[in-house]
Parts: sequence; structure tokens; C-alpha cells
Amino acid sequence: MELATKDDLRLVRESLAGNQLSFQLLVERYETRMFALVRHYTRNPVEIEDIVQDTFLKAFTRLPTFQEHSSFYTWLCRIAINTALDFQKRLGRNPVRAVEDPELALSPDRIEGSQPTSGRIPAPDARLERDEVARITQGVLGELPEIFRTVLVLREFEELSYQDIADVLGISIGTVESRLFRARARFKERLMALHPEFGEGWTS
Amino acid sequence: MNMEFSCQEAVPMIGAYLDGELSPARAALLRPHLLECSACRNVAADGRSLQRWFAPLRESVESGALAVAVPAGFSARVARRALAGDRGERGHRGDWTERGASAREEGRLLPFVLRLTAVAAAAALLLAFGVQLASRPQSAHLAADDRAALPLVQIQSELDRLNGVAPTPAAPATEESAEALGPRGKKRSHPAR
Repeated sequence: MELATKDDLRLVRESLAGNQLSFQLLVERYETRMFALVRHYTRNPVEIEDIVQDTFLKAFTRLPTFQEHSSFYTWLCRIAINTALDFQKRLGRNPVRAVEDPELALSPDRIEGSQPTSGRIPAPDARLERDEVARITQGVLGELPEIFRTVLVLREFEELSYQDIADVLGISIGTVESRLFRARARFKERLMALHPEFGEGWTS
Repeated sequence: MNMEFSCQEAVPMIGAYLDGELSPARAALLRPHLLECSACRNVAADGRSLQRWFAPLRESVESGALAVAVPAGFSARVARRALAGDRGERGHRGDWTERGASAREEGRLLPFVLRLTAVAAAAALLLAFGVQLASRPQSAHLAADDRAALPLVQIQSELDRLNGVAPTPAAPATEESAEALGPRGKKRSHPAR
């Protein structure tokens, strides 16, 4: 687990003592990552700012409950994702939950991609610009049910360990593993559906 | 091929294996299977390909190409609100569209000022109308006119008396001065006294 840095802990303690500047420095330290994380849930800049702002305000309120041996960033991620999902719900954009997604209820061996003989996925063509690949990936991620998008974002984008993902989502490591497996299968399927030109025979 | 460990068991573990998250015991089960099974090796190759789709997204955000710009003064504003007791639980009050970030509040400042100006203008109009209504005469007699006319009548009478002229029913000067006060019909009878 990525532990809070000494600096994080110092700033947390000073914030708890009512030091506004210390909390401002904590916000400054993580605001860019929070804006990037929340962008996976909405593209509206005003909504992103609202969600990130509320994330930090909630974090300040809950600072007394922060466990100093844990990662401040992971803790913040959990608040941000819950705030983003609450926000979606309030706007009637209910994120798809496991029980509502028939594919999630299937056993792993029945999901496309779980068979070794399934269609291959190529690496991005070297001719594609980095930002172009990034946009394609972002587009495919945006098409996934929230439950898959979140776990992929935490692993591939935030590069969190399975344990940290489990902490953020409040699930077991085994569930992280199986959810990631399904999420990757779904990502591959959507990538091929949206961009058939990247299918077999195109491999670089 | 290791028949005790099927592809169906192996495939769901490959992602965790590539992520370096498989326990040593489970990795020890998977590794020999991968050596023997080309189909599962292809799944592992797919997993590595997938990772190469995500790396550019990370890099593009880190480089700022796909990053969301943090508004100027965001941290100071949030810290100020936090210390002022804002708990960031607007959601519990169920209204995200009317309140929120100061950027949006600033965006609403102009409409707010315009609305305030309109309300102030309406109030001023109402006040002016009210004052006008209150100051309107409630009867046909205008106190100001009466006060202005009386001395004129008295002066005319005094002049007539001094000149030995019998008082006339309506002195022209008085009539003119009454006319000058406005088109108020009944007014004309006052100088006749």
C-alpha cells in the first residue's frame, strides 16, 4: 500500500489543528490528479469542479477519521469516486451496478474473452499518435458500465495495487481480480466494436 | 499439457499474473500451464497489448494534453470554504444545479446584478407612483391655489375700494391668474367672492 508521505501527514495534522494554509497545500498537491480521476465520470468542467471541490470539503470534514498508516491519496480516491457516483445518481444517470448488468452475473468462463481462442487484441499501431491512442482508450472507457470503468481506471490509470483498489471500493481482493478480468474483456470487446479497423490482421 | 489445471481456470488469473498481483502459490500453478498452452499464452499477449492502450492515456493526462485545467485559485477557495465549515454535502440537500463552485457563482454574478437592478427599478417606480398618489389632491379645492388666490382677491378689493370702484363680480386679472393655475373648472368661481 502506498503510504501517506511524511509531508501528507504533517499537512493533515496541521489542517486538523485549523491551519487553512496547510489544507490548501494538501488540496494543491492532489487537485490535478483528482480532476483527472473525476473526468472519467463526467466531461462537464463545471460538474468536475463541483465534484472535486466536494471531495476535498468532505475530506476535510472526515480528516479526524483518516488512519495515518494508510495512503492519503487512496483515501481521497474513495471519497472522490463515491462523490462522483452520488452526483450521477442525483442527475438520474444511475451507474450500472453488478446486479443490474446481466453480463456481470455470468460466470467468468461464459464471458467473451475468457476463452483462450477468442479474437486477439493488437497493441496500438506505432503510426498512431500518443494522444490519438489516449482519446480512443478514453472513448472506449466512457462506453463501459461504471463498475468496469472504475476498476480499470483505478488499476490502469491510477496504477493502484489490488489491495488499494479493494480498499477504495470496499470489496475483497478476489472480487477486484474477477472484476478486472471482466472489465478487460469488456474493454477489448468495445474496442473491437468501436474500432474494427484495429482487429486481427492489423497488428503492428 | 497440465491436465490438472484447465484453461478455464487459467484465463481469469492471467490479468493478475501480468499485474504482478498473483500470490506465489497461484503463480506456481499458472506458469507451467502457460509454458504448455499456446492459447493461454495468446491471452497473456492480449493482456500486454491491452496495457499498451492505457499507457498513452496516462501519459497524455500527465503531459497536460488531455488534462482538465484546475481553475486558478481553486485550492485557496476550497481551503477557505473548508475552514468556514462547508461540509461539501450539497448532494444531501439534493441541489447540484443551483449551488456549487465559485466559478459558477462568479458566472451567475452578472445575471444576479441585473435581476437586482430590475427589482430596484421596479421598487423605485412603485415608490414614485405611490408618492404621486399620496400628493394628489383629494378634493376639487387646491390648497396652494386658494392661498395664492386669496391675497389677490383681497388686493383687488382693496384697490377697488381705494379707487372708489364698485367691486366687480369677476376681475379679469383674477380670472387670468386663476386660469394660469390650470384647467380646473371649479377654480374659476373662487375669485368671484
